Amino acid sequence: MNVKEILYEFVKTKFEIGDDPDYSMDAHLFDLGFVDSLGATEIIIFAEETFGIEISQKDILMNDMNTINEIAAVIESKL
Amino acid sequence: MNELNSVVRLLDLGVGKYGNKILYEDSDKTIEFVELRKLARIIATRLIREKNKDRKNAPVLVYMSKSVDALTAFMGVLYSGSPYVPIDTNMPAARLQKILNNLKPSAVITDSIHYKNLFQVEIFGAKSYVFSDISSGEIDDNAVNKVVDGVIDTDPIYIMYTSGSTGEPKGVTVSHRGVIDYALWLVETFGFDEDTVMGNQAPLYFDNSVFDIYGCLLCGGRAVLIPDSLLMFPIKLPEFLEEHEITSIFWVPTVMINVANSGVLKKYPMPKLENIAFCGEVMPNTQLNIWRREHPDAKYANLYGPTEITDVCTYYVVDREFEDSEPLPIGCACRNMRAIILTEDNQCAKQGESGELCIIGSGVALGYWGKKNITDSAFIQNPLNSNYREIIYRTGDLAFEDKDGLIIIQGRLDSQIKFKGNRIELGEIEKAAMCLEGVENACSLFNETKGEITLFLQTKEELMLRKVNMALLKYVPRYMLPQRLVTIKQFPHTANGKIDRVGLRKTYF
Repeated sequence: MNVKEILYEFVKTKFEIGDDPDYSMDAHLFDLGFVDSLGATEIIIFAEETFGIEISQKDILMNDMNTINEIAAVIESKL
Repeated sequence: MNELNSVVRLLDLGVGKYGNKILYEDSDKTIEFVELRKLARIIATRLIREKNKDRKNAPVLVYMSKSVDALTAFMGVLYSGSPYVPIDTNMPAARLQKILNNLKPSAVITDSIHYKNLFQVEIFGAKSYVFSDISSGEIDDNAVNKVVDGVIDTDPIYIMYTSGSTGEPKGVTVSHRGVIDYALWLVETFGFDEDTVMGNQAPLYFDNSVFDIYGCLLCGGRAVLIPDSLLMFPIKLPEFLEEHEITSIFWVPTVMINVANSGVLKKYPMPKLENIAFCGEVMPNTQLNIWRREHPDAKYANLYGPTEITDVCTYYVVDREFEDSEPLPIGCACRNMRAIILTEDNQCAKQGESGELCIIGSGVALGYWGKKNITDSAFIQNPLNSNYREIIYRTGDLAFEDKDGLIIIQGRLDSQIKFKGNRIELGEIEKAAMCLEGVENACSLFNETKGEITLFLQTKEELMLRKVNMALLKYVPRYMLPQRLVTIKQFPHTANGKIDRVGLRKTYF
């Protein structure tokens, strides 16, 4: 599995999304209510631990990080 | 000239003292005292010229993202003699309409991103302006000076909308004097000066932001607006504070709790951080102790104040060790404010006796905009005074004075329930639950239809009601034990960062 797929599966399981048809790589995780604003932290911790990277506050400020694709892009830029 | 009849006098004085020093900063721009005053007076010139004659001092809605520009718009509105009304740009159109129906503003200032949202609502002929347009042009010094000279300190400075229990928005109207007194108290109490750098968490439509905006305006410090996108990731906040060399924060406890629970405090020493103040919810000692262990030298202050007060009316500077299970006092009244506790039969409560906390002083709001009836029931004549007119605000909070003369909040009067013949304060169950191992946050609600106390716990792992109740018995009597337990990994939050109790009810009841 690549970064995107790992992240996709993690979010799907962690936030009990199941087979919701609205969920996709480009779905806005927060606006659509899949992840609440503070659950975002769990995604960051998971990404940092799984991929051995560090996502800084600057990364968050400089990039949109609302979809699986957007978050994965930030992670990939650090691998 | 130096008479403090309007908050903009603080800006006039600040320009003389601090001139080209940066006052406000967001992720895109910074603004100095001089520039802020200039742009604000450009905005005021335009507003004064074009305001509807019959709504001359009517409020001006500021419908903008949290930004330096929004703060500039606030000052512009004040120089024009009107109060400003900060509005959450994420608010549903239906709710915004309710506010507009109540407010009937004279003008609306918005930004290019949110301009189009206004097409969905009726603004009753108010003129609407885009910030970039209204902030460029000329200044008519005579006209602006004349308006500012005419302001008196009991005039409204802002109107902030809060939701009532009925769901109808109520526009809390606060005076210039309230904000001026509050700023003077803040600077004195915390010793703020030109080197102060505040990390603003509160949205500008939430009265906690008054701390950052006017504290810095008076002391010559700098307020850094923390971007909303970063507040989504509280675990990254310490890194931001360290990088921006923040010296003071004033946050809601939920944000502080999340930072403490994440363990990230160990990683970032934040050597500049000196003042840590909080307000808006109960701050549990369990998490405060995590902060105190990592930052033993910082000054911690528990502030208290409903929206109906200019941000804060009582305070407690933490001056001793607290067990995790102890309540943190809200202390005593700020300068030029008075707190009294009234029993059910409107007598002054004795030490240790519970009653409703009531507030007197310049910080008490003028009332709810355009709503006389509910104003008259919340802001009443002090029943202890039959000699002259003295208005108190009934907070609806249950409190008592402890043996040291410090006020302790016990919960909301309306969260006190009678269940199987016992009076139960739901806040007490929450406090007890916060002491249990693995519990990050707790919320207790009474389900009237099913007649059961439901306890919501934010935990990493699922817990069993039976085991939780066994542990709770250490702190509360058996009759207070919940009948239902819901464990959640992350509580939903309101726009202000507090636990979304209404949302929990909707989802689980």
